[in-house]
Amino acid sequence: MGVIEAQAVSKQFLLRHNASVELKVRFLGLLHPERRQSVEEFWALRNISFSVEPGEAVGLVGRNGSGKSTLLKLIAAIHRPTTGRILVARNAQISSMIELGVGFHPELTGRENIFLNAAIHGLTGAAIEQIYSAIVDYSGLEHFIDVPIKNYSSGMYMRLGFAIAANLNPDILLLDEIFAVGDAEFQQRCVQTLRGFMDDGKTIIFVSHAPSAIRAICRRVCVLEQSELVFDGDLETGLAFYEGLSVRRAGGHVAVPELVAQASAVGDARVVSPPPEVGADAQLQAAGRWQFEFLRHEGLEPQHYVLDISADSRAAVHMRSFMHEHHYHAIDGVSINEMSELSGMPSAFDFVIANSLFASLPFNSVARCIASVVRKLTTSGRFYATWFDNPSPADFDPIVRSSGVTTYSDREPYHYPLALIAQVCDSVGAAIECVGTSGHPRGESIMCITRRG
Amino acid sequence: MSLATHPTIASRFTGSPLQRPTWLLSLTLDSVLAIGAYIAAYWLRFSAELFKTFLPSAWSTLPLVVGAQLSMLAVLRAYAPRPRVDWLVRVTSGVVAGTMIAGVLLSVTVGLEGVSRLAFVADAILLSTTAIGWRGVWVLRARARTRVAIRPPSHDLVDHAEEMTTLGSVIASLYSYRELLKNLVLKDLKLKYRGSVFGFLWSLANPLLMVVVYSIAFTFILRIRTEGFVFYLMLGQLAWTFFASSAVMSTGAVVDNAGLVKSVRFPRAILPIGTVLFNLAQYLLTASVILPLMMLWYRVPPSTPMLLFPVILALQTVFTIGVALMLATATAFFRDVRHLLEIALSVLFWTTPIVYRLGDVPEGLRLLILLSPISPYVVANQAMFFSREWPEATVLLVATTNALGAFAVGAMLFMAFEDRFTEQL
Repeated sequence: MGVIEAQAVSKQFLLRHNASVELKVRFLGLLHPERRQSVEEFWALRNISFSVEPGEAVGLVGRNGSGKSTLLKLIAAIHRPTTGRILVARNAQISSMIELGVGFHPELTGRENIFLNAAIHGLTGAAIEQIYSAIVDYSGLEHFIDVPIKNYSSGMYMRLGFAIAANLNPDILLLDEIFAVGDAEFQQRCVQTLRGFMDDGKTIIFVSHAPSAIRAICRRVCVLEQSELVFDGDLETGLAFYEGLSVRRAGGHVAVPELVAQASAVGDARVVSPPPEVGADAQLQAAGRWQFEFLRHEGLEPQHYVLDISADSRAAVHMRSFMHEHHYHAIDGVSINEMSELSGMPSAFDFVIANSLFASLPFNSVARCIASVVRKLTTSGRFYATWFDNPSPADFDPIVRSSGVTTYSDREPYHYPLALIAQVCDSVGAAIECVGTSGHPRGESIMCITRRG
Repeated sequence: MSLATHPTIASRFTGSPLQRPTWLLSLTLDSVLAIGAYIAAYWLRFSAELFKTFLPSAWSTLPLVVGAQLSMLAVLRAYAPRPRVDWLVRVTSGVVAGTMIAGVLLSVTVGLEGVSRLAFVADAILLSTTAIGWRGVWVLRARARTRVAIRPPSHDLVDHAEEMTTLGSVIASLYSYRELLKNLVLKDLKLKYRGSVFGFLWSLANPLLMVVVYSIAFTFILRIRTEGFVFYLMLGQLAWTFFASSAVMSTGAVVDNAGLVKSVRFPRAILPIGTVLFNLAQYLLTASVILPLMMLWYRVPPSTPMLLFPVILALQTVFTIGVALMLATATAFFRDVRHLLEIALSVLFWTTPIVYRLGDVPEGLRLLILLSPISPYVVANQAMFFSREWPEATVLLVATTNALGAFAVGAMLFMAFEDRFTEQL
């Protein structure tokens, strides 16, 4: 039984564009569509599950915006998960250092700030008295303890902040990028303290960009990428995987499924989400050929423009190689994250193919994808997508949030009834039909979307 | 508009997230309130002796009035199974239209003899506020409930996100964080006069100066001859200052501590409550010096009703905490609240009997003045210290209702929106 259990945790934030509560702006928004407030549903975390054993130190890595801090705040119960839940051992004292020195008041002295800050973390007066001298000793600020901290240097400020957090004596310690600040000596001190924690059998979750800091403390690494947990395994493999990510990132966009594939290739790491379409290379080749043959069967000719939006999936790479081989005109695909780039593309498309993509996307993304693609179809253009059909809407639970936002089942593979997707198509001026239920290697149904009129 | 909120798509799957009251329950509650409001309106309109003579006529017209009100509510679909957001408008217009129709019917059938227009206005106001009130409480409760865990937590693991979601657990957590509350109040007290030479003396200088200015203005310029008028004035002024400065400070309680709220877990309600307690401490410090001084000066002997002061003070504090919770929540979403509050406070100052006496107000307006939120506490203080008599039962009743009502609404509002403002600050 772990000390922290994350069970299918997702977190959605509502991003307000042009957010303003000013009435003037609201009224202007009625006249200028581009000034109108729009709300975007942004998934900061998707379907994260993991378990942390007591005494473990877990390094959390990932690039900016991948959801590390959000995950930390969910564990600290500062935010609530949108779906799923995070369970923590009963009686375990959690201390979070999301930001060092938050809640310090510049006009108060060091002593007063220690009392205030410890109280913010829920300590009683007697408990604070007990650890007070330890905090002062640890910070090495005896001489300045009665000076208002507005006169402290930033290093002293950090030292005081860390000294308080280190002496709160938690069972679970959550740290966010605390080594980004402070000099070498301070960092050395932090590492020593954290090692001491580990010797006492405490649990540490540690967010950092610095591999050296992670190496110094952790034995286990979790990698977050695009709001998903893509790797959970031992230290060196994890860091190598993360560095691999950074290298690939420099070369261009990387879709998550492929990262998972990459992870499975590395050592004995436990790969979190099952790789959707990765197997022997021959199998991928077969899938690519199948796609190509399918399009030819549907009337693909060499002068046609084909867009593949399951970009960078391995089967798609194979399909494109078949196309080049037979002198067909293929556009290098865009991925679902780059839909906005579509409008910049030079021409309209005769064929668009989204293989296995709709089964791995939440409904909102599917809808957005359809809307973007339909705009770029030629009048006779066709958009083929595979998906898992669910004929009974009763099996399909909408999730209504307390904020009034309706979202849909958020577990892969997604099953959407055709009627639901038809409504999306209807609202963007497109027609839809189901063109086949068999023949696809993954057993998915195939739909065809065309422009109306 | 994102596609998922597109009406055609969303409408198919819109299950209401909030449990609505059934129409039978709504109808029962509304009819009880309608009867109560009508009787209360008559009681408020006429003094006790006249009330007895008017009661029979009120009783005989009651079925017609209540019937008209309820049927107008039904016509305007206040009992529709899924009332939309505009239920506020539906309920208000239903009550107003119902009362008007009842008035017209009465004047046609029985004539205007024994029918009081003012009682009808009071009835409409009472019924619409109470009808909106219980619906609002219902919605807020339902909102807060959606946060509460449905899943049973396992034996030795707990879900911290599901804690502090009920009023009881919030109050319990506030108690366990009492050290923080103490520290917050002390911090504000220390900071207020830190660096100034006279320190706490400024807290006394301010009201003392006010006393001097008032004395000059009212005894030499305006020549008000009332004995001890300045004492009367200060009683109201001090209680008013406690309320007004708490309200002003509470608007920033959450917003100005955004960093803290977003990176540490603690019961956030502690922030507005802390500002109120800080102002309470200031009020007590000032009053404990000024009141005895003035009682000596004006030769006011102590009397037993003054023992009620702690009770009145406690009620005023609870009331102010409720208002502070509402203002802190509202400011997190609308920054205009701060400006709005300034205007509201200057209006409230004059609708509260601080400068004038409640007894000098024309009879018809007296009730309205007493219903002004902070009035009952001010009036009670004046009764205890200035007139040295027990406050009237009505005053105590209004004081208690205001305190409990404001606290309930404030607490529920704060809890219902707590998640949203921590994410959006």
